[in-house]
Amino acid sequence: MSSFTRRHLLLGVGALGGLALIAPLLLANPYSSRLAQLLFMNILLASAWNLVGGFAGQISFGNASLFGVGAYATSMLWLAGFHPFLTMPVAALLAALYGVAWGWPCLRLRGPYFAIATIGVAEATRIVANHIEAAGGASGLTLPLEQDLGPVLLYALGAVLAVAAVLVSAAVRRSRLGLGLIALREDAQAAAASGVNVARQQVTVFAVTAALTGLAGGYYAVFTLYIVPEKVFGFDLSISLVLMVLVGGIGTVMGPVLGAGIYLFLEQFVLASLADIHLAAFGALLIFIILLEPRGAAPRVAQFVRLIRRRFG
Amino acid sequence: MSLLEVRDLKVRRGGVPALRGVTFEVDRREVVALLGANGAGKTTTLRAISDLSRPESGEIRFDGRSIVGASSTRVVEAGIAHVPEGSRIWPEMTVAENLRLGAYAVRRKGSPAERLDAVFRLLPRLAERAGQLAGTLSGGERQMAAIGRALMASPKLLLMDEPSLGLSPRVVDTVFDTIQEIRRDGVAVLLVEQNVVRALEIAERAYVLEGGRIVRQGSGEELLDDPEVRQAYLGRTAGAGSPGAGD
Repeated sequence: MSSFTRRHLLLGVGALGGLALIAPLLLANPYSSRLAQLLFMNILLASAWNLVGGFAGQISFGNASLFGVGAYATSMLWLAGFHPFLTMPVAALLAALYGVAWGWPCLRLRGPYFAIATIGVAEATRIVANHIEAAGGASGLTLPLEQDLGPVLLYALGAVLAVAAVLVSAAVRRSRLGLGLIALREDAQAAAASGVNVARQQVTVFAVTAALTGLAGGYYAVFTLYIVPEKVFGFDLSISLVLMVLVGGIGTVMGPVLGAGIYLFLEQFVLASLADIHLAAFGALLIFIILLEPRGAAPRVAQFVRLIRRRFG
Repeated sequence: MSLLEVRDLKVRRGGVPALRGVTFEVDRREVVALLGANGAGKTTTLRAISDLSRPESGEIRFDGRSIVGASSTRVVEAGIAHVPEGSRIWPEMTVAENLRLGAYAVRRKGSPAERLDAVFRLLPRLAERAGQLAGTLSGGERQMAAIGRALMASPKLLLMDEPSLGLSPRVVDTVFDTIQEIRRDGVAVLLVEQNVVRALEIAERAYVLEGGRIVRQGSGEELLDDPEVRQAYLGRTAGAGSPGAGD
């Protein structure tokens, strides 16, 4: 993309450098390694969701269907003997194809109609996945434990994927198409008057969302080594993405990153004791945030950063 | 051949006829005013031209080609840009992004950077505000941003819907000066305006709409002197120059 600037590339390299520096801290024990992996996966998922959910304003409750395709693609290819790294592009491609297959008809709908359609697609996908015996049916797939990539490689893979997702998000935000989608979301009448007609191109961006979500699925399979349809195609997963982005700041580049972190923190440290109702508790938090700060955490954090800069810069 | 020819245009809005057969034309480099009370069909006419509402019947020809049923993108590509009522800029985007969006449909017409320079020369205030969120602009600056956005499409014809609405008298002056400059640059303007006197002062010709029909037409001067127009829009007093009761 033409609007992908050198500054973004430098920021990306800087972020990777920073993540490399704090790696020893996060790789101290298996639990912290897992936290880092989950954080990278959440950033990837939330940034991917935000491309269409945030920039185009089309709220999907069905991204688990794409995540599951990625997770299964990677798992089945790995079990067939391919190196997990090689399975990743296939996971992205298959998820993108599946995303276009249902996104193309569904994205003709707008607002709540689109949202409801995505729930239908994802639930249908989950039910079908439960019955594909070749893919392990409802009991899922167990991956070769002895071929585990190990915490360092998994950390590196996750960091690269997460940073790449944020860079893609920044590039889309600044691209011609991204700007057009935001214009359409903000004021469809003004967009029409200016000749900005991008409704059909939503599907292009959705393909990117789907590819990144498929990568997240592949990554998940590689670090958990065990997948079941109820989890990777689950409605919980779809909803958690929406919550992350709303809490962090919808339609911004850094919002999904913040939201992914906040979600993980709450899930692990605050709501762990609440076990199965943690989504309900998170939902309550969401209502609280929307009442106090409807645009999520990102604008406030940006304001804070500017304040610090002015004080010390 | 006129730049824009509208023949017997009929449009329904919500099942009710809004235009009952409107015929008019706009020549190259000409400012034409479209006057009339609220609900007379002025905005509907502009919207039908830029494909924001579909005509029931009639013909719209631009540059000799029919544009009825062409998508709004194609209309912009053909050379018609629309400044909608109330400016309708994107407040959460920067002024520069708003302007970029104006050039969205016309990728093939020269470089956007050149057009941006031309817009900044005409509207220097926008250059100062380029990096600012459009929502932080004053009312007059917003209107300028909307005009600048439309000009980014390098149109041959600019449709302007109530550009002076809600602006202070001094800002209104600036808006009308800008319209004159736009014409000087070779762009025709079809102007819907509630400030009848100001509109007639700068318009070569004007049409008066009533109940979805054109009931009067003539040069700006003729209509300014027309007793019925004076009565309807300016009150009975003979003194010229006082702003008319808008509707």
